[in-house]
Amino acid sequence: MEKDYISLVLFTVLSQTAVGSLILREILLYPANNFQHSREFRVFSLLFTGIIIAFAIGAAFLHLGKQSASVHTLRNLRNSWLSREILFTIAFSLTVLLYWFNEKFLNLNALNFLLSLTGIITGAGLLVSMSAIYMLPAVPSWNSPLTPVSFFVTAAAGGMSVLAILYAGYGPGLNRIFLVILSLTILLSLVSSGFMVSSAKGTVILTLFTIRIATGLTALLLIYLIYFKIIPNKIPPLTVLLITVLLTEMAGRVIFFLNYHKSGL
Amino acid sequence: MPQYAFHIDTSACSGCKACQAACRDKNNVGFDVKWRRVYEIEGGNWEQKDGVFTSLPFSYFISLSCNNCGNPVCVKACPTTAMHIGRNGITVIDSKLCIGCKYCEWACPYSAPQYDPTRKSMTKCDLCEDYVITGKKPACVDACPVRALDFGTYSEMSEKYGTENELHPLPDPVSYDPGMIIKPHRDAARAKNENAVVADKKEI
Amino acid sequence: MNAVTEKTRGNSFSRRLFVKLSALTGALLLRKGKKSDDTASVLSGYLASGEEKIIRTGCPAHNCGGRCLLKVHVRDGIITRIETDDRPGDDVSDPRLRACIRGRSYRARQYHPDRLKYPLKRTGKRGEGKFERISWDEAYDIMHREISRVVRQYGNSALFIPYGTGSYTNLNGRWPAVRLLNLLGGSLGYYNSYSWACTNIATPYVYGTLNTGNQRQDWLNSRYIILWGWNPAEMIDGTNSAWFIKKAREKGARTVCIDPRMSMSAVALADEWIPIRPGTDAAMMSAMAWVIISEKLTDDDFIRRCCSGYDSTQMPKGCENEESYKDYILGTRDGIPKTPQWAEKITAVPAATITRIAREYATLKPAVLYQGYGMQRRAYGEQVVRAGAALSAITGNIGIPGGWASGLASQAGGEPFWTTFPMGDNPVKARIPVFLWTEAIIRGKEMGAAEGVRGADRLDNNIKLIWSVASNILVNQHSNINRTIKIIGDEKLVEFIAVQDNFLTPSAKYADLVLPACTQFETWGVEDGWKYGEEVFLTPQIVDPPYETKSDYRICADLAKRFGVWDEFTAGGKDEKAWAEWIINEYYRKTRFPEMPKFKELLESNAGVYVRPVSEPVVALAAFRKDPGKHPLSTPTGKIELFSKPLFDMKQPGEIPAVPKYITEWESPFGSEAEKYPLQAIGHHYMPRVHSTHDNNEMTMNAFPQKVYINETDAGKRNIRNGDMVRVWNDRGALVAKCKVTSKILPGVIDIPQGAWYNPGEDGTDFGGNINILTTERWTPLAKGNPQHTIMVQVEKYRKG
Repeated sequence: MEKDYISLVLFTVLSQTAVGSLILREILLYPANNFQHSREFRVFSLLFTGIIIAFAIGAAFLHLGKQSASVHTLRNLRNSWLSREILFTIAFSLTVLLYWFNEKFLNLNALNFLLSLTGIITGAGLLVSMSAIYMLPAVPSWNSPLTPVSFFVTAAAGGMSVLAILYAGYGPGLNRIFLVILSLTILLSLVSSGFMVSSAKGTVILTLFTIRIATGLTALLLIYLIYFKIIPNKIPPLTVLLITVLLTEMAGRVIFFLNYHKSGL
Repeated sequence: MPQYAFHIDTSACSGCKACQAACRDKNNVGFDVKWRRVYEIEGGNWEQKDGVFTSLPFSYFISLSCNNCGNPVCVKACPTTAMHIGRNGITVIDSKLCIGCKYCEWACPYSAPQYDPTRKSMTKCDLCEDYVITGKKPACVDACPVRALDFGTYSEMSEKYGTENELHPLPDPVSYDPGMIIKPHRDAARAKNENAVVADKKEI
Repeated sequence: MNAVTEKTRGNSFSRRLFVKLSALTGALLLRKGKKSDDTASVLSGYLASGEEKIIRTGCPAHNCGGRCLLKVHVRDGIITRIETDDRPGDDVSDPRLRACIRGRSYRARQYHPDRLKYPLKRTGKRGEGKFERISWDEAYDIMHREISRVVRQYGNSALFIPYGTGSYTNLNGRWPAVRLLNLLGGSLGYYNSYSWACTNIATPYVYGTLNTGNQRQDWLNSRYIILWGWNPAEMIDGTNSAWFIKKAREKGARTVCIDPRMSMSAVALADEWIPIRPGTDAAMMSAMAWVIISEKLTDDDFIRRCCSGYDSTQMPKGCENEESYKDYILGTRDGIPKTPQWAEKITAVPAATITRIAREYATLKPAVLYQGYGMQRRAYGEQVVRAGAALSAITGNIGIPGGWASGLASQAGGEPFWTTFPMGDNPVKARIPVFLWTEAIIRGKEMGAAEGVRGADRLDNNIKLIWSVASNILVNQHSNINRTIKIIGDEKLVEFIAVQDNFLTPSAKYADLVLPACTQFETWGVEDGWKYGEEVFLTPQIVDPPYETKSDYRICADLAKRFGVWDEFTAGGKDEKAWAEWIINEYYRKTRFPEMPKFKELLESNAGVYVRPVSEPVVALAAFRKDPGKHPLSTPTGKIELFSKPLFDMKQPGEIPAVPKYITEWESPFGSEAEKYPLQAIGHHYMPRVHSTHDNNEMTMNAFPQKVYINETDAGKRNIRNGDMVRVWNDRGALVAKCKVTSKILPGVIDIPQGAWYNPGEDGTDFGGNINILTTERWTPLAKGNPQHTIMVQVEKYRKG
């Protein structure tokens, strides 16, 4: 595996977090009572998602050998999952941008619905195409259901952690069920990467796994403390929660990339 | 367009890497890149009884470049169509289009496409297309001191050498349809049974 | 698409990248006045412009074991590509002479940024490696002054031009220097070589000649071929030797490789690999003889007609009651029958295997037993040569198509001529065994017949001046580096050292004066086969010598002017090209190849080579076999001497027995030294180098890095893992190198490929991985040869400090 996979770690984790945050936002927003969500929440959540996806795209650019040629990346939509992923990334980002613009300046409800739907579809498309990219027959260690599972789990855990901050800052406060689901997602994430580690070897990977467990458990502990109101349901502790969750996922993703083994050769 | 194919006689390959040097010299590629790679397979154990050694190890070499697959997964993977089947039926890279994302490298089971940091582009064995269109064989093939490599259209090669294209630990060729015909080394079956691996993978 | 050209990034190129790029593209530094940041523009420039010339030439000749044809592409005075032989047809009689990795990687050597560019004068202590640039005028002055002074003070026999094969055409290398000194009254001579000292001396004791080899095409007539310690896939030993073995296999020959290492040849050329403990080959050979004799598989008719000393019935006069070959094998005198069971304990080869190989060799006839040279660069290397020849003799595999007489096996019927450049007569008659030059420095005047001195009873001088041309023997390639550098580092012993080379080698660092020679692409030369082959290469000057480098010949000619012998030296003004013409027209056409085209024709045809196809390979000793009475050998008895009276008369039966014997080596796993140093170390000839040439070639060394090869068992005991840095040491010195843990070497043996450049740390530990830090200066009893593979060592995981 080439050395600059760190940019891909950032891109995958951040873009998945962004997608997760948007999709979850839409899920939570619509069936629930709109009035509970303040305008700030609606605008800031999109801004947040937009910033995260912008960082993700920036990281992805770092991975390229020749950024100047990136205009050509949509030429092989017919065959290449990577081409499709890039299309979904662009579409998703534009949707978030428009959505935010609409929420902030236009407030056209009909457009909101359309953008919400587009956001969900492009976001899901991004996750699916990203999974397909890594499920390569030439790389058996990636070509497993664990790959999409880990991507979706990152999206869920990251997305929920982002929303938790927004809820605490601008929303109606945190729902306890929300916290339970988040903690279960983090647990799932830790368990699923256990399978990945079992097929990989080396002290580096074990170290990473240790980091992952430590940050994951810290996140769970934070949730527990917040759940029982031992610490307040405020932005600072929830920001720490987001960081620990992202660290957990990134450590997992580093393990994933180190676990790149071609079949045979 | 005919599919081209290499014949690789692993029973005779000594791992001398003349092919690799010829490739490097002809194509001016730096040390970050090996368009032709020579893999050393090694396995087996020693048993000592009364100072006498039995149960011998085994080893053989596989020299690989690009197999110009009939089903080129690299072409499918490439987001920009930089990796494409060119005019002469040879899978080549248009470096103007290439963004250096390395996805073709991941997708190729033989690791033929490789990123060249000096060219800032993916690069790959092009079967010495400039030679091939003038009727010459690729530099590596004409370099082999024991004539363990050969090259031609798939039909020419299969007529001469059969159609064997499986060899431990190469990936299952079925889904790639590689232009590669192999003569297995005598130890190939043993290597498969004992699941021998490539020695010093990092140095390849 | 492969001709990718990127815009130059000028200064931002790192030095490292620059070196790589320049090495690969043939750009560079070498063009005067060019700045380094032009590299990339040269890269793109040469791909874009300039007319391309293609010149066919011989691959720059080193002592590499082959002689191959190159097709060199030149553009704007820069070599841009190196292809190899593509002559139409490629059959056994006239196969393509394909170059190996070293030839194909030559641009990285040719355009190496470390090439010597100017004459250098030492400024620091000798060996410190500190020099300053001087002019050629000053350099010639120094040479003239020092040679004159030493001749005046001590005499010509104090001058010495050491063994060296770093440049090795019939015009380049040490020959012109020898010619010059011969014109000036001569210099101390030497005989023998570092390559095959023992086989060179021992073979004639059996056969009376060195030409015991059939032309190689004859291997295709064999049914059974033993590659005994022989690794033609890697050390080449004649271009196409490996391919001929492959062809013989295709024709049905069974091949066996006997070697401590699973060599490249064992993998690719042999049906079976038999690992054997180094230094015990003569034991296995003796046991094979025991099986062959006991099972009556001998060729009795051949033995009766052609051999001497086989048994008591054919002992030479005056030795009737001495131990015959058969006596030794059956143990009639010493009480030790040399059975496979006896040999098993010594060789680590199972008795059943020895028996089987003996039977196969004696029955699958005609058979070849080819002896490699590594096993004779050992303590008693003479024995293994004679023991192998004895096996060929008792099975009658001599003088027949498909057979092989063993021994040195120079090709019969037109041997290669290693050097044809006329060096003239050396007025100094004394010659030393080549390996004993350090002895001649410290106690030359005490050396006589016991030390193998020939041409004089005693040396009348110690060596006082060394002029080393294309040689890395001063430090790198001679045994026991720590001892050698002490000797040559002492300015009272050798008073002046000049080194003439392409690079500042470890030897050149010990020079008082360094003379920059150009490469063989930059001057004219003529090559013929390396041991084998029926070809002559013309190597024209392809590119200009860069900076102030000059050809070996030009340096000597300029120097001849100082000494006032220019006319004689240049034979009336011949330059390099004129000599090449002379060698082809006046030498080859008048001796070995009368039918070959004249120089002008060969040059204009751009063929690069003249080849005489071999359709009916010559078989060595065929006439002798047919009628030994009419065509006797030049041994005392005229026959194949399994018992040698001349050796018997030396009266050193312990070390120089009259019949070939297995003798336990002075450093071995069987002695008390094994308690401290339990591992045997051998140093095989490594694919990326020719001895020490190419060790700084990034292209070859990238493909084959220097490593210490160690068996998994031995590594496991020492907690060493693949890729670890290991320290290898004995009482003579220590080295540090990366290790490769492998199953492809016999347990108890490590391999440190020879030729790595000595690179000492502060405490004298060598970080280059040079095996000679561990080897011994002791010489073999008969040949006075180098025993560099007979060493015991210990290995541990390296820890800094």
